[in-house]
Amino acid sequence: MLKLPRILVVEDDEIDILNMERVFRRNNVLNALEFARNGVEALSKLESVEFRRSGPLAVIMDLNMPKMGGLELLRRIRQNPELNGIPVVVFSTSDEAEDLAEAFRYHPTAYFVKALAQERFQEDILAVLHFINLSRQPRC
Amino acid sequence: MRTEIPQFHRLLKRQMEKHLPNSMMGEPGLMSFLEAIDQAYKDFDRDLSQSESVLEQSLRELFVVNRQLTLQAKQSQEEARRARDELQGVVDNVSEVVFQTDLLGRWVYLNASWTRITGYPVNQSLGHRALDYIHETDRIRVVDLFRRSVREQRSERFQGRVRYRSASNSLRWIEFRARFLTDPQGEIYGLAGSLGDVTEQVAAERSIRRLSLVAERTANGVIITDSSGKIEWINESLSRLSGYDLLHIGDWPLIEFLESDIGEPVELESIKQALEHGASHRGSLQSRKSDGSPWWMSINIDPLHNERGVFQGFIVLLSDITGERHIQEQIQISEARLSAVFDSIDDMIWSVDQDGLVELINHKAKQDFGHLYAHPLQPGLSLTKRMPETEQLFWNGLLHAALSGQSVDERMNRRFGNERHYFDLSLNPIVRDDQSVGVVVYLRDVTEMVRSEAALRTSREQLDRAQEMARLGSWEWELDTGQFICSQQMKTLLGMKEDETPVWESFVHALSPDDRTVLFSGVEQVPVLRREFKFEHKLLGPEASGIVVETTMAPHIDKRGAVRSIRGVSRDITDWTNQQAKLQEYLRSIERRNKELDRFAYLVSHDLKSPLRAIFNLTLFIEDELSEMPAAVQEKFREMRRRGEQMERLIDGILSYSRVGRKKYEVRRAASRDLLDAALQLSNWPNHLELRVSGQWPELTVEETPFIQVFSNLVNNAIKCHDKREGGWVHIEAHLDADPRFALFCIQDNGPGIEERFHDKVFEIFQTIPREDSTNTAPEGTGIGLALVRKVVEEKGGRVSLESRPGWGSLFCFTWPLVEDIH
Repeated sequence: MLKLPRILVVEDDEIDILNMERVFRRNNVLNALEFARNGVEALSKLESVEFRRSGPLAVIMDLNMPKMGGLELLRRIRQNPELNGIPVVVFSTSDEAEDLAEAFRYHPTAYFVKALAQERFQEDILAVLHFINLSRQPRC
Repeated sequence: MRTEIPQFHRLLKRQMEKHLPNSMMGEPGLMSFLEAIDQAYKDFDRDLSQSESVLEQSLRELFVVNRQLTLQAKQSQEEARRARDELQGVVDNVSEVVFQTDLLGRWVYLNASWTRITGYPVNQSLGHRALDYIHETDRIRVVDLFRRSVREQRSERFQGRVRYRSASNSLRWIEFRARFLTDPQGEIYGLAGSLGDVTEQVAAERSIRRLSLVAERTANGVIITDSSGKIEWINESLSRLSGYDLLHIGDWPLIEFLESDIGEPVELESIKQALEHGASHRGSLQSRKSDGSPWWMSINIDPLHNERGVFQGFIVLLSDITGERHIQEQIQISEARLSAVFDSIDDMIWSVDQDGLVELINHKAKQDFGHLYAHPLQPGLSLTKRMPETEQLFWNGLLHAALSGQSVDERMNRRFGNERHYFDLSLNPIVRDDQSVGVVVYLRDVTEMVRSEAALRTSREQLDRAQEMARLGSWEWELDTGQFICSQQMKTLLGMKEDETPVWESFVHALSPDDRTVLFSGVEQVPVLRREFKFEHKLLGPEASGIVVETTMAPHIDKRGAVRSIRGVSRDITDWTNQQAKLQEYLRSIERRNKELDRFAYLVSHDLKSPLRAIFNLTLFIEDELSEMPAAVQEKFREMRRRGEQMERLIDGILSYSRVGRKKYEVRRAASRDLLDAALQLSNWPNHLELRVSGQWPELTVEETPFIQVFSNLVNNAIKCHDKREGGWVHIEAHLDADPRFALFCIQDNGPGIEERFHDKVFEIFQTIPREDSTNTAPEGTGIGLALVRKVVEEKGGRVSLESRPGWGSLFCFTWPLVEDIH
């Protein structure tokens, strides 16, 4: 059986983390969840070889975070040849064109505006998971 | 009955009645007898009356003859008397005096003419000696004449002219003719003759004699012509003047003598006319002498008539006026020169004589005097007579002063045509032999000067005031002389007192050493480069310290193209500089505020939305954790989340609303229809609503995003508010606007419509219309959409309108520029 990719959620909002866990739990999602509270934390995890060796990986990230924001993190991931193959999906509260344009300069796999309505949010998360689980990635 | 008796002669009848009985009547024999008798009676009667008429006629003729004879006798008596009277009358009425003297020369007879001629009565003169009436000087001559005649018995008749004294004691000439009276024996007993007054004749003869002398001897040329105008006689002077003598020009027509190549044709023509008509002529003519030299003559031509008034010819008097003519020409030339000078003066000039009569007038005075007074100036008329009384006083006063030898100068202002003009007038006496013989009046219109002086004064004052208000000083520095002049305000700027005389150094010393360097380089540049030089500097000095001035210098170039001076303007810009600094400060603060606003928008969008999300999500968690929850609580949680979603929409609305106009997008060429489609795609079009799109959709040069935003808001509004489950439609149209720069877009629906009182309100931010239709499940509006539409459209220069009635539907229209300004 194919090993499901682990998902690194980079999110500083406690409630949003809880919310995502809720969606995972209620939908019997089997992917393992890892968490980082900001870009710096996320980057240090991604850069550790052991972390990478334990299976395929995907990143769901917020943009607006303390210490290192999502855009900076995305830039670093895309500039690192060892990391730039990882699918990165952005979930942001911002629907501002500039934020979108800025984010797309670093080639996110997808960009979602966080919906307040639970049904939309759940749909979005499940679509992302479906995509991640179907995408075949080289083992790191 | 009685027998009828025929009509018999009355005498017969009487006899018959007397003698014949009636019984016999009717007897035929008797009757014929009676008839015969009657016939005899009648014949006798006729003869008798004939004789009577003959007798009567003879008597009448006799009477007539007798009367004629008497008349004739009377007539001859009458005629004789008349003849006598007539003779006496003739004698008395002959103009000549008929006289007779005795041997001693005493008047024996004098007729009435004596009294008429001499004035002495005849009866008082008879008996007096004839000699006594003769003038003393002539008496001896008369006495001699008679003595000689008597002694020599040479002549019976003699005559002579003597002077005599008339009763009025005037001396007159008489001519007498006399002969001796002799008796039958041959003895002389007196003188008889006639005498007449010849005083006038003597005078005429004398004048003729004198005239002919004059004609002979005069310096003037005299020509006598015959009636055809041919020269008959000329005097010596004419020969001398013309060089021709009578041998040459005798029998010449006068006109030929006068004609020459240099004669004035008009004058010659008028001479010809005079000669043809036997009229007089006066004139002057240039002609040639016999040697060909020209001479000017004055000509007097007069016709000559004899005593009976018959035209005889012409007498022509010629005199040489070549000299006078020459002088006259010289005078005319100088007069023409003088009057040209006189007329070319653009001031009124005229002269008056000592009686105030106008003499010479120049052209300007002729032209303009009438504008000043109601009448023109006319030579020979009084200057003042036709003026109004006050003017007469004024002018007469001036003339009087000038005639007394003073020069008078005066300024007056008068109505001139329709305006008031100022005149400088000057009166100067014309002095000859220490006497004022007239006045020259000189009148110069100085209106322009007076006005420009006043205007100059005013504008200088205005300039000073304006410069004072503008805190602007002007100055000029002459390069050759180094003279520096400046306006009042410049002095104020330099901190100088009003009475101080400015010099170039006053300006230089008011500048700091650094500013002076700039000033000097400007002063060097301006005359060379011939263009403006502008610099900012401070003004030093006790009072002027702290003033910031902008000085602009420019070259003043004269007509010949040389730079004469540098002109400058120094403007106090202290306030302006301060204000400029303040403005910069404001601008900076506005920019800061804008950034703060941006930051605020960011905060709203993210920092406010995050806690909202948290609250929202927490409700979900609570629901999860409380496994059993009453339905009422669940409903309240749902409502809580619904409100949360609404709040999120509000926050998003505020964000987009604040972003309008602040955020710029690229302007692109796009088909408006495509942009509508983009807007429609953004909306979730419900299946039960019919969509119709029609009209002419123009190409726009447009910022796409705001345009799509407007459409999508209107479309969403139409969908959201629609209350019809069936038969609902939305109709979208595009047209060209009445204003050719704009396109018009309309969205019409057959939804519930909006009451008129809300028509304005719907465009205000956060204003929503209470929903009456409870079946509509769509989320409540935020009150942002239409406010945003209006804000965007008006930002682009367009306008939004709404037509709507409840039950009919709504029609929203907006205009959008075909080409947007690129900011």
